[in-house]
Amino acid sequence: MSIPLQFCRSCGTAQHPARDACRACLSDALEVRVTPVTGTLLSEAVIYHSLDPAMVANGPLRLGAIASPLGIRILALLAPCLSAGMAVELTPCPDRPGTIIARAPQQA
Amino acid sequence: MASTTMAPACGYGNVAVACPVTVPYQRSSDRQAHWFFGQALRRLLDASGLAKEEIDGLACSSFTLGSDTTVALTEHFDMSPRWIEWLPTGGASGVMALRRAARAVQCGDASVIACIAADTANADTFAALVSNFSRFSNEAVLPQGMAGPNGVFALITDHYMRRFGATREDFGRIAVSQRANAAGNPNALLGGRPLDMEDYLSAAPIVSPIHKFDCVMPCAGAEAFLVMSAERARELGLRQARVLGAIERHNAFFHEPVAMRGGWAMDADALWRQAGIAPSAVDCVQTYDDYPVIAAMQIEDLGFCGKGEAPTFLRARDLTVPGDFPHNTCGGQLSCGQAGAAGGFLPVVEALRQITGQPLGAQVPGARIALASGYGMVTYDRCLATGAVLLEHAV
Repeated sequence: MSIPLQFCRSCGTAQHPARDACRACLSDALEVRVTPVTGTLLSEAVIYHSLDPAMVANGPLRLGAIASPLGIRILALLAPCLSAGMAVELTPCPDRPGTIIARAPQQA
Repeated sequence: MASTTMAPACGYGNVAVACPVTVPYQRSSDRQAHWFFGQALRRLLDASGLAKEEIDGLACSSFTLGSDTTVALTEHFDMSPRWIEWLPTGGASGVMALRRAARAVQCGDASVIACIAADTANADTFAALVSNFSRFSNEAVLPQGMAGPNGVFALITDHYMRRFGATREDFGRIAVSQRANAAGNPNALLGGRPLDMEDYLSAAPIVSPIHKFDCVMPCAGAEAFLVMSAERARELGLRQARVLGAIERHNAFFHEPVAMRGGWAMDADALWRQAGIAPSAVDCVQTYDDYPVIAAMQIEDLGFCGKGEAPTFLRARDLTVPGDFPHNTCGGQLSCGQAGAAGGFLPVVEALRQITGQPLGAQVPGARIALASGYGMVTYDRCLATGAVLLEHAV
């Protein structure tokens, strides 16, 4: 699975969240590529109270911080059965723009 | 660290900080932030004996002034200052206002500078603030469950606990001791509600591992102080402090995937060198306590113990006013409430209160040197702005 991610065409640096100029070389030659993104889940939290109570109406959500070898830090909601230290891959949430789901890597 | 490659900053010479004032906190207010600024300014004039026209510098910080900034306030209050500053840096704005005002006075750009942070608060203001705090937050944090700052700091807390073996009880020591400190402070909105470790540990989870008593309560209020020359403060008969040293740093350690230290760690050596003292000389420490883990990081990063050693340090020390490490002696934001940007002024104002013998609550016996630090602006997954200042009682 892949997610849309912004890269610099000049120096290749990945950007997240999206920038208007490359965070490394300041080029504005940025492009979004749908890319497989993997990483390591470094910490996790359980959301009991959300600013939008509807988000947790069906029970708490799990939030995680993921470090990617692309050099970016990503916050994502966690699929079940993940715990800190595990390798993850990122997928877009089909019905919520901007929401990213981290899950265990699927075997191709 | 970077500071060793830089020329040392000049000292702050004959600059005085005086007149700590607080506009009493309210859980909620229908008044606008401008009212809280006006009341803070009035209290500064009352405390100093100065006329409004003698204030020729104004440095302000707020989240709820709408489209207004410092310059608009000059018109609200019929002032014509020759120097103004606007500090949209929340939790770091107190230290930053003090640093800038001290240099302006030192260099003659202004004679007497009022530094004020004020915010109103009601059911609408907090939701409006959190739901539109920064572009990165809107685009990349809120879509992940709308947890607000609690989500980000729960991740930082969880990471710290895993990395350094900290327990909830370690963070509870900070919250519980601050509640004890707040007991004598009439401005602490939660000062009348005792909190013990059992209460802390059994509280409801908000975004686990953050539970109810790890969170600050938003409120309305203001904090302020004056910066002028020591001579002027003496002429006015004011109790005053001198600035021994001050640092700030922004977006430090951005390569670290989850924040486990703040910018203080880059500059703490420079701070102690500039002040010419060691951490053991400090009589009370006022950290920015948006969450206990951040207070613990400040204690580490400012050199009171090593990285990851805060849990051990906290177990060994007594953080209450009569204790051997008086910390957030007015109760901090965890017990007073977080009056918006005034929460970022609270460490500076409380430090000044303690070393000039003007606390709202309990006095640290014989306090002469205080450290105040700041931490502000969680635009993505950590706060970006950090700073710290060392103040010493002066005559």
